[in-house]
Amino acid sequence: VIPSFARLYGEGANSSIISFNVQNWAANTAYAQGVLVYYVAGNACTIAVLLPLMPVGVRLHRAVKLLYWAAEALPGYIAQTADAQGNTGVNILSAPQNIEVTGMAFQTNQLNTGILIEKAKNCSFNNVDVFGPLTTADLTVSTDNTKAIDWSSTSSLPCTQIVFDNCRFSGFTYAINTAQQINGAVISNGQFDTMYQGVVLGGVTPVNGGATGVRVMHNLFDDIYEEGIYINGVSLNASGYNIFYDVGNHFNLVPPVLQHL
Amino acid sequence: VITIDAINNVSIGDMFQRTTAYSGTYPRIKIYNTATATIPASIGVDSAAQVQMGSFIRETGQQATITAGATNTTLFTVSTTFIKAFKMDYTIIVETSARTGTMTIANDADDSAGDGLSYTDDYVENSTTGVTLNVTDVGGTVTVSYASDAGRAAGKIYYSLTHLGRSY
Repeated sequence: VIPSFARLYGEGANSSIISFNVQNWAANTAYAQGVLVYYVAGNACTIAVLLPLMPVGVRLHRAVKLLYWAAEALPGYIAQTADAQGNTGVNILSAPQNIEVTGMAFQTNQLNTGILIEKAKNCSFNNVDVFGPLTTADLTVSTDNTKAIDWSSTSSLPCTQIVFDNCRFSGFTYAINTAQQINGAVISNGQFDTMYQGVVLGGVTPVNGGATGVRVMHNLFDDIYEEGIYINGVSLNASGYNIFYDVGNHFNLVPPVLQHL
Repeated sequence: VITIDAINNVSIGDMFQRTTAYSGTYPRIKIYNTATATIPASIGVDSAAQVQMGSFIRETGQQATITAGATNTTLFTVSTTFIKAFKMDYTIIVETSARTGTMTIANDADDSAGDGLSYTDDYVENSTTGVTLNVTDVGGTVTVSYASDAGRAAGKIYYSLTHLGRSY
């Protein structure tokens, strides 16, 4: 979690990387306690965590691994905002605020979401990369429904004035897809690449009016299967001075039919 | 590429690799609510091609050379699949002759019985340009073409389309 007033300064998105990387379990490998691995049984695949009773560094054999590993749910996010006490979710007492993240990357090799902006205000992310595992082969459908940035608000604690500047988003179903309330956000000077859709605001049932004041400015969109920006049933949002390359072309697999305007 | 289906949103200054020729079925900026088949009052400035303000669209002005002695030269075509009626504001310059006016054109996309092509050409001119504008309809395509006097020099036509509403 990233609590209020935290300032995370990395040495650049290529150097300071928070990586959520789950490897397949391998026999005769010494794992540190708490490490997540894929435990493969037959065709089923679950995530497991090494239990404390397993001495660190002891080599594990397939026959005994169930004694030491416990199934674990896939964490929903690589990172999320928290209040000053580190609370998340319904336990947040006051808005997570004044969080600054600079020069870092958040990566996952799983089908979870990058960063959850939860009830936060006045936060900024600069020179931050958020990368997921999906490729164009996966992104011809929205089934995986992963997001680089997710949002959660309440009417009393709406996400307010969140800035992403010079950030890159890639390998997720969406960079943003939210029906949650947002009161002002800026995504500027960034890059959206390899996604099903880029920024989706609103939806069938926007919550408390959904996203307003979201300004998507000066970004580059490329390799987006459907829309780069989809404003769906919400108002007071703006797109400006973005460049759209291969967007809405179904990754060029199905060129649009030539039509007269 | 960008879809806006609610009021009070704006897309201004966005640029698109998608060309106008490929913007029929898949427009660069789609201001349209598919669920309600309505056009919301939002604004989209589509690259350098057009400005859309709700259901009103003004296309960027174009120009073409009027070739002397032309009999039926196409200026442009419009798909009535998407656009049912439109206006063309134009100015024609041939030598010292100048003519400016508006063509108003209506058609039915499916050319069904009882419907048909209808248009007017209202203009003023300081002297005759020797240019005649024609409109034809074949299938779902309206073609605006011109004929010109072989005894005159080549000229120019400057034009811009406006229309209200768009189908998808």
